Amino acid sequence: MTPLSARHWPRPFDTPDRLRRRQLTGLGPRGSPALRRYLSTPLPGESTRISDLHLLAIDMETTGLNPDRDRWLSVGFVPIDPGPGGHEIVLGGAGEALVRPELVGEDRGVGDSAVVHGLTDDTVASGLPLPDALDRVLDALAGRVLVAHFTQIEVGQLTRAARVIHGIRLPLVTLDTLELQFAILGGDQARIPPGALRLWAAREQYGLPETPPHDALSDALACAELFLAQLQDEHLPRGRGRLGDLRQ
Amino acid sequence: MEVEVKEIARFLGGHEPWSGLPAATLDDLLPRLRQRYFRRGSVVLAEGQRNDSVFVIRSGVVDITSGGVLVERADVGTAIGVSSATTQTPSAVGLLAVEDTLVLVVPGETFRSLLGSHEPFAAFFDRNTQRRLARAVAEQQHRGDPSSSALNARVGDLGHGRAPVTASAELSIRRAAEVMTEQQVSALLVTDEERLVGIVTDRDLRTKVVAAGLDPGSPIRTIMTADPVTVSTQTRAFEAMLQMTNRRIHHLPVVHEGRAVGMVSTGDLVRLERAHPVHIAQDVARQSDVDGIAAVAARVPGIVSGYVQQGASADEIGRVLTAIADAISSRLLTLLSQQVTADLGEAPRRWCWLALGSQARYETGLSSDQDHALVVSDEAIHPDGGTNPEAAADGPDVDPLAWYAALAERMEAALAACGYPPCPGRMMASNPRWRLTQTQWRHQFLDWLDTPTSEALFHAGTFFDARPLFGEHTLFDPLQRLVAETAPERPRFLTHLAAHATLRQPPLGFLGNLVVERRGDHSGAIDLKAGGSHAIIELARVHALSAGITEVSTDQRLARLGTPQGLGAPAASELRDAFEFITQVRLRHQAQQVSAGEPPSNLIDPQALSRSDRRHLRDAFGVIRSAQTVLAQRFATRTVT
Repeated sequence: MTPLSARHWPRPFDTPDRLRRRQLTGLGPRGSPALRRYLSTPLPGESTRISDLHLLAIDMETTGLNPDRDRWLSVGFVPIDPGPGGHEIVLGGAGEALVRPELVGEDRGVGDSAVVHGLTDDTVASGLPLPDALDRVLDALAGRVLVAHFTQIEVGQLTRAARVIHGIRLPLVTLDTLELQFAILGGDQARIPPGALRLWAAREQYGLPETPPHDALSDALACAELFLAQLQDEHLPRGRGRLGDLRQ
Repeated sequence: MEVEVKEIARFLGGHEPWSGLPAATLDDLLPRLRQRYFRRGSVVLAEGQRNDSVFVIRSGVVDITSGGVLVERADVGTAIGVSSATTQTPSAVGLLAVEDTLVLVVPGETFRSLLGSHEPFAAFFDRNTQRRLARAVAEQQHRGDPSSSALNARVGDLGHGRAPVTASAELSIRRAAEVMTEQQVSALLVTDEERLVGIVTDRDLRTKVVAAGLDPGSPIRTIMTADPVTVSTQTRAFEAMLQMTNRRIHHLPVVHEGRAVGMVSTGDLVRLERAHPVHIAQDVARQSDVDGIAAVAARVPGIVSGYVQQGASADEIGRVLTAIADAISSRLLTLLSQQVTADLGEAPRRWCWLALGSQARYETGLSSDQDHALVVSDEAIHPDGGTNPEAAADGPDVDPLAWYAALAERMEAALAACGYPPCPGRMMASNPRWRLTQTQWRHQFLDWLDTPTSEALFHAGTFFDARPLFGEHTLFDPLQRLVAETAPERPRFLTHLAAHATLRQPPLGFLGNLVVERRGDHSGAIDLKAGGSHAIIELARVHALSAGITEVSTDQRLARLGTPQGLGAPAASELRDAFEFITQVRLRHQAQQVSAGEPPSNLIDPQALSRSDRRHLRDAFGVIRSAQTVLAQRFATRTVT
């Protein structure tokens, strides 16, 4: 059964951090320690300075784009922290996990997507149960902005997992490197060459290492590196340098 | 929970010196790393800024600058910020991203602890120039005795560049004989799907077919030596020679992983022996005309390339090339002086042919041109064989030096035919300025010592490095003594010579990084000669002249200068190592050019060098720079520049 709070539509002036406080209050004694910690840590707001942001670049591999139908197979992440000379990727905070197939209501195998990810059902079967995988991500994500290239997949899978497992609406603050690239390239769909927004094409524009995509952690790192490059791009519309300015 | 980021592990595993770290150390290192990104045009580290990180470039290019001037361009895999992070002092250089650059950040503390605990890692970054250079020199040199180098070569490296001539065992004897004739080989390897099963030699044809009256239509299987003795590509040439001598055979199939890949014959090895410089010199001495000598001389670059590839030291190569150049010059002088005598009569005076410059210093290179001069006795030779103190005895109408002009002109042409191009500055005996009597030379030398104009300094540099090569050596000895005795008493000359010697600076920035030419045809290259080997030659010359040392070889001069009154033992030994190393790199580069059919040059693209060679080169140039500083101070060159 779905708790009341999860049925709320976002209020006009709702922010992820307000949602977080509400969810924490509503959680009561339920939830895992990781979830409680996540909900207890303030999230950055629209007015947080870009230079102060703590972020976590995430990449997920899934069987498809629809979180309700497609399965979460693996995840990799790496933190991006403010340093004395600007943002830095903190390799020591990197993490990755394979996700074991859910037992209830999920009978779909890896199928065709195995060709893309190189993940077979057997490999995936050795992974973490979904609740543990969610905990691992939440542990790393507390107080951070989720950064991904096309965030819908990660946001969809995380919010679905939180809803299914804990019955809550997961508050997330996100930045999408694909959208940032769109803005950097002028924000005009008609003028952007096809394919230019793809992760590896975007990286190429910054001379970042050309390594073939192969696993979630490498792709998370690739996304993090792209984000560092975007932050320094003079074409990035950054307004007064607040988080909100990055998302128009 | 720590997770290895494979991307980074793979990257470090592909770059020195990180690749040499133990796996456990690397595992421990990875989580301590961070990554930063620098937009093109942004400053990674400003000059004078404190720095406690080492940056390893993962993508992009960073210029290392000093006072805004480019000293080196660092690219993927290069560690930058090393010296400031190691010594924990403000950076002496600026680091500027010239392309969008992604760097791995190694915390200073972590880096220093790696330096302290891993010898090879520390050695890579070791700033102890002399040890590093000496080691690099030692690594490049081959271990064996140079006189045995040729036969030390491995059979696989003899480089016949030709696949063996093979045939099936079922081929007819007649056809096999035809193939051998067509291919001009004296033996045929019999193979079964590349696997060696036998050998047929022309001796088999003679003894088993012709003499025994066998049917030439029979298959060669009937006459072949089955399962012959073979050598591997790794067998040393002399071992192959011994095998053949002991077994009284003349051919040895070369086998690699069961496949026949070639054949060595006694003929090959005899030719190999003949490639030895001693044999070259002997060959030269046997020739009776210029064409014959030129033909032998044409073999020299190939032989030297072989030597360089075998790792002979630069000093060795310089001596070998000089020995050959000396042999060629001497033989030519013998032949040509006979010719001139036949045309113009006996030489009117005693004379001495001088080798100058690199040949005089025993430093002949692959690109050396001809530099020589002639000393003619002040005294004419009497018809009775004695000498007349009156030079006028040559006769009023005769130019006493015409005979020598003829000789020198023929020499210039003959040396050119032997691969030594005429000196562009015409410092040759064929130029009447450099074909003088003893007295004229004496005045000339004193004039240079007393009036050190820039032209005088230029000439002094060439002519004070002279060595008598042919004729009456005693004619030159007083001149050499004159220089050795007078130069130390001419401080003005020495000061100017020192200033001249510091004009050409090593292609090095403020903190020991290679500076490439930024303009013109040589853009992106460094000159190994101008501010490199030549700078050391000039340094050694100034010090040697001021100390009255008569040796002309740079290595010998530096050896003699290793005293407290000279350069001091450490500085002298560093300079010797630096000279050896730069010359080795230059020779190796030139040998490659010669192999590729290009003219040898002194310009090299640093990117074509291995990372460690680049580093050693930086060290060597650093040694030159400090020696130039010391020279400038000692001889107060400020006062003249």
